[in-house]
Amino acid sequence: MAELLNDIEWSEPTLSIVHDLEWESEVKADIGRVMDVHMRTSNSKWLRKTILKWPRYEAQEFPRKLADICILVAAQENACRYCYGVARSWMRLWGYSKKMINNIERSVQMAEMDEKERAFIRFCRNLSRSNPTPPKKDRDELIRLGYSELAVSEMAFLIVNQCFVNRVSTFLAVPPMDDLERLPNSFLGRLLRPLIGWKLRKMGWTENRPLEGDPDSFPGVVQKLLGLPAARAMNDTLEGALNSDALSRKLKVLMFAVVANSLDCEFCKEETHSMALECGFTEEEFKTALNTLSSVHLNTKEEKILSWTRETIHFQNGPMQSRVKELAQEVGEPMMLEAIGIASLANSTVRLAVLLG
Amino acid sequence: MDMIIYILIIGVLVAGLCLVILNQKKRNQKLEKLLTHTNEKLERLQIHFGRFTPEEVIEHLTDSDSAFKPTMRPVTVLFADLKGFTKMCEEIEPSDMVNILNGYFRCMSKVLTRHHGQVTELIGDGILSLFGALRNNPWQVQDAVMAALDMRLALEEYNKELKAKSFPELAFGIGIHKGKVLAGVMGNYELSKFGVVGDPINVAARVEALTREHDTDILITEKIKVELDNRFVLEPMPPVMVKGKSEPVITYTVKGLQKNKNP
Repeated sequence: MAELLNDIEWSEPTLSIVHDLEWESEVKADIGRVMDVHMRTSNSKWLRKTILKWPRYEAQEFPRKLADICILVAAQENACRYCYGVARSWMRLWGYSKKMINNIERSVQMAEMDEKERAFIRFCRNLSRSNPTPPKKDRDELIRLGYSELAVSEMAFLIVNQCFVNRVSTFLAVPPMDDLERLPNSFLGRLLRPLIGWKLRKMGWTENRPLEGDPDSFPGVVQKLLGLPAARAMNDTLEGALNSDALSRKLKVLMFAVVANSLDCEFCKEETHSMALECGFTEEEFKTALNTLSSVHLNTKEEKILSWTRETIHFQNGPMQSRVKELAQEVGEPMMLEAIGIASLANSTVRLAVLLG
Repeated sequence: MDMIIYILIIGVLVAGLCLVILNQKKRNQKLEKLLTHTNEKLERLQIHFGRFTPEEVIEHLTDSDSAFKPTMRPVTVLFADLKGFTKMCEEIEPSDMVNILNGYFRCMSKVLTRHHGQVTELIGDGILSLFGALRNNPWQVQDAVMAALDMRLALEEYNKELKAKSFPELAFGIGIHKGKVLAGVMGNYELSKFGVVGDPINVAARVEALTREHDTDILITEKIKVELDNRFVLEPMPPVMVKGKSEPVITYTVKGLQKNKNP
C-alpha cells in the first residue's frame, strides 16, 4: 500500500558527504545550488552525473502534466521520503492545488481526470511497484487510448528514471529538504510562486546530443528507446556504470543478472548471460554464481554486495537503510556507493526491459 | 414603481441563487469530509488487515476488480513444529504457555521474514512458511534452508531466555520440501482467506514428523538436496515409508554450513 509523506520510515543518512569542489561548482553552474544528494554521490562520476540530470528529464512525447504526476506517483510508490517531499513541493510551486495532489496520492476522485490520465497513473503505480512484474497490458491500454508507442516508451523511461533516483536516495537516506517543503505554504512562497515555478521549469534537462553508432551495438534496452532523447541518456549511464572501476565488471554483471532473475526478465537474463561469458565466466561458473550468490571470481566483500543486491528489489526503508549502513562498514563507503548506484540502475533497467523487451 | 419591482425580483432571485450555491457548497464540504473520513478508515482497515493476510494480496484485492485467483506455482515449504508440546501444556500454566508460544512465534517469524519466507499459517504450535509463494524467488530453496539454520540459532537464544525465567527449554523439528502448490484466496463469499493447497505441504509436514524418528532437528527431501550447493553440510538418513506415499521418502539432515572463504 502506498504510504503518505509523513508515514514513511526514514533514518539518518547511511553514507557521508564527500566534498569535491570541482564537481560542486559544476552543479552550481548547472542548477544554481548544490544539494545534499549531489555531495553524497560525488565519489562516483557516472552516478553523480545521472543523479544531477535524470530527475530533470523533460518528456518530449507526452504532456508535461503527466510527467509531473509521474514524479509524485513514483516517489510515493517507492516510499522515498526525500523525493516524495521534493515532488510534492515542486508540484505546489508549479501551481497544482493541494486538493489535486491529495487526490492523486490517495488515488481518489480520479473521476475528475480523463481516461488517459487515469490509465497513465495506473501505469506509473504498477511499473514503480513491479510486484508482480510490470504488466504489459497497462502499456497496451495506453496505446489503445491513443498514445504512440514512442510516447509509452518515454513514459516507461521516465518512471524507471524516477525509480532509479528514488532507490539511490532511499539507500543513502538523503535528508528531506525541509526548506523546500516549507516553501509552498510560506508567505514568500505563495507570493513568488509563479516566479519560483518558472525558475524550476527552467532547470529541466533534455539530452540534445543524438546517439551515434550502429544501433545493433547498443544494449538491448537502449535500442527500445531509439528515437527519444532517453536513448542517449540511458546509454551513457549504462556505459558509465559498466566502465567505472570502483567495482569489478564481473560483480556488476552478476548484480544485473540477479535482478533480471528475480524479476524473471528473459530479455535481460539472455543479455547478462552473454555479458558474463564475455567477461570471463564459464557457463558453469555463471550458473553456480547465480544459484549460490557466490563465485570463485568474487572476494568476500563482493559476495556480500551480491547478496544485498537481491534485497534491493522489494524492500522496506528502515531495515534496508540499517543494512546499507552495516554493509558500508564492512565493504567501505566508496564501494557501497557504487553498489547503490549499480543495484538501482539494474532495477530500473530490468523493469524497463520487462515492459519494452 | 415597475423598476423597483423588477429590482426587487432580481434581488430576490440573486439572493435565492446565492442561498442555493451556499447550500451546495456546504453539501460539497460535507461530502468531502465524509470521503476523507472514509479514506482514512479504509487505510486503517488495510493496515489492520495486513496482520492477517500478506500485503501483496491486500493490494491486489483493493486495486483491482478481480479476486486473487489461485494459481499453481513452485514453492518451497518449511514446516516447523515443537517437540513435546502437548506434554508441556499439561505441566505449565496456560497463560505462561501462551507467552512462551508467542515469544517463540515472534523469534521464528523474524528469522523467516529475514530470509524472504512468508509465514502463512500458525497451526497450534506449528509454523507453515512458504518461500516463493507471492513473488518469483529463484533462491527459495537456499533461503528456506538458511532460514532453518538461523531458526536453530534463534531457538538456542530463546531457550536461554526461557531458562533464565525457569521455564523448560523448547525443541523443534523442521521439514523442508519443494513442489507446486495452489496459492490464492480460497473460500466462499461469506468466508475466504489467502491459503495454499497441495501435496508438498503434506510432505513437508510428514518430513517434519520424521525428525523424531531420526532424532534430528532439520530434515530436507531429495528435491531440496539437488538444488543446494556444496556450502551446506548434509547427512543422508535411511529411507522411510510415510503415510500417503507409495515410495519411501529419502531425507537428509542439515548439519550446518562449511566455513567461508577468505576475504
